[in-house]
Amino acid sequence: MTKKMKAVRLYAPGDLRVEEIDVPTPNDHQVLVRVRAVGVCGSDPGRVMKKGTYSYPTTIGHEFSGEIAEVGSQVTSFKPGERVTVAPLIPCGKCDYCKVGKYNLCDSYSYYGSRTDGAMAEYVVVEECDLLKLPDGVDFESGACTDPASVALHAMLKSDLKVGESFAVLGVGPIGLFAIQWAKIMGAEKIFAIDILDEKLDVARQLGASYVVNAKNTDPVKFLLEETKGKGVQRVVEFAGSKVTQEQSVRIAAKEGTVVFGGISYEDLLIPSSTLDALLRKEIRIVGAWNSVFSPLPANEWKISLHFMAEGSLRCAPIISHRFSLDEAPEVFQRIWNKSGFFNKVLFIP
Amino acid sequence: MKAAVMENIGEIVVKEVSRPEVEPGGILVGVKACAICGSDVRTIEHGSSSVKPPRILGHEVTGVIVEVGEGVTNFRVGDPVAIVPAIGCGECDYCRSGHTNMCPDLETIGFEFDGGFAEVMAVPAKAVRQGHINKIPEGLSFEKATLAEPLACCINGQEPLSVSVGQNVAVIGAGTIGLFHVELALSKGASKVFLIDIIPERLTYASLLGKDVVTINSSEKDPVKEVMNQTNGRGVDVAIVACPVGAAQNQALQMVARRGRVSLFGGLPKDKSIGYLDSNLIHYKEVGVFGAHASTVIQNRLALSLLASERVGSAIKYVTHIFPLNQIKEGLAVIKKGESLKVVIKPN
Repeated sequence: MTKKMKAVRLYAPGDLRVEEIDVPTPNDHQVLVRVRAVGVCGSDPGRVMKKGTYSYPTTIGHEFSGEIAEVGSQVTSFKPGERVTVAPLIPCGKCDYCKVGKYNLCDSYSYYGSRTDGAMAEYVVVEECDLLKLPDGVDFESGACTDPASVALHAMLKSDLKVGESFAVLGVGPIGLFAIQWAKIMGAEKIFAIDILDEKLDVARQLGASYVVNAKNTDPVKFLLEETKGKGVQRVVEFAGSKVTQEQSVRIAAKEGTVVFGGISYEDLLIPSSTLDALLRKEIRIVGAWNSVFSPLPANEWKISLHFMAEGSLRCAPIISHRFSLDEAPEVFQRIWNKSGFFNKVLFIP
Repeated sequence: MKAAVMENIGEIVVKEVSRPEVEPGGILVGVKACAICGSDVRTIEHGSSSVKPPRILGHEVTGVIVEVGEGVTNFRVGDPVAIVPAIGCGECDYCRSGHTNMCPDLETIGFEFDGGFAEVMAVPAKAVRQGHINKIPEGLSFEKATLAEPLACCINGQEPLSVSVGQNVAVIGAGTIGLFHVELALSKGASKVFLIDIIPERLTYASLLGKDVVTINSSEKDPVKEVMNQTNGRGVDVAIVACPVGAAQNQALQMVARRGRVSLFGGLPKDKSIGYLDSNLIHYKEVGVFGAHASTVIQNRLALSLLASERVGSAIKYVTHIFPLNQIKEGLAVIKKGESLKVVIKPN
């Protein structure tokens, strides 16, 4: 008899079900992972409640860690029992971007939890190329945060932050909170955190922000310009994905500063002429950041994240606010979508 | 006033000299601390093409402004300051593009001008005009602020190397400069730094810099093999040579990864700089090789800020010895013994 497992599957936008299904079987090049922790990404609630997946039903979830349960006959670099985390993007391996290691720019990628079955289940089948071993000292919950940590690092590298420079992050959800920790690791002098939730700003301060601004009560542009004697901030990363913060991030940037747009946005951005004028006159560079890089060169952002988690300067525990069982998933997604209560990183422990 | 004057090669005398006059646009600094640089020792023993005795040496200087010349408005008597010693002409293409350290007519306090081993030191007008005086941030002592000068030189040396988060770095030479390079690389997020020296005592400081620093005693082990073993055969992203040894320069080329960067930070003795680098290593591995010379006002300001915020210079007690001016020879002797990091002279 085929072994059964619990899985959280999407049947249509808003129709999320917890079901007993067959444990999937890996092919020769794949690995079966027993999932130990799987996180809710900022993109997941919209995906589940509104946007939907690419086919139905699909098991959701792409930020995860676990133990290897079974390996395909051609898999050589991993063996059962090993603790791993998994990059969620499956590169085609054939396009020009894959050929230079820029899997995040792959022309025809697949993705756990939206384009193929994901990890909000007891088991998931993954490709060997997506696997990374968890170092000693990195627990499963932290391992499940490697994806947001690496997405934050990717944006930080795009920002070109150098030692002694000032840094601001707009939107301090889990990715923004990792960005603050990266800014510290990369030697930022002053770190500004901007959000509209005090709960998140409290964590931001705890993780190293030198200034926190609740934009509900304080005009962040005015505050940052005052604190920098009118010069503005050299490196700015936007993770809120709102047209308001996107425009603010340009206005707080210093001359020759960088603004990285990393927050997914569904609205048009209108740049007022005065902001556009500042963009020109200050020679501000706006750059997008998408996903993260797990190819070896120039930098495997996933390995760097795991290194600093193991070393202790990249902390996940303060970012994790909730832990649920798979059975609670439909109700939890409803609550997150309705914004009933405060949520930071939400983990499911299958 | 009292000053330590280099009267000839091998001859340094502490004596009374006339106090310098302040020139229009210049400044006089009451010296609070002046650290001895390795180059000071070299100059005293072997001379220097930039030093014509009699000369007061000392270019890692901090103090308090005691007099401002006619027309100086942006500095006040009483300000605690650190001096940026290498002064460009302010007119050439390099100076006007911010690379003042690359000025062909570079003149340096403690070399072409009298330096800080004296109770009072004159800062020339052209230095004041170009802002070669940085205020010392609050909470930073005069002794510790002397570290800004060598640290700024390291900041300058690392600028073209793009040391970034997650990278592997090797530093050959565990003196103050080497340790600064290690600290700077860590402050930028380097995930592993190899520190290499032939003197095991000097490597002991590395343990104060955290577990990402790996020491290699190169008198016992082949440093190239060690680095290769510990990087899965790939080598380091960046190798910095922080000692005046030609053989070490080639070791850096050997231990750097393909497409890596090498800094020849430490200069070689005059007439002994040719014939060490295997250029085929540069050619086939596509290595970038960079030089380093002196530093700029902006780099000095960053150095002061890193020292004040304790991101560099606080894990290790760099100032190991302090002597009054009339014991400068004892200070030089301590350096010769090789048991010190920084020796600071306090003339006042």
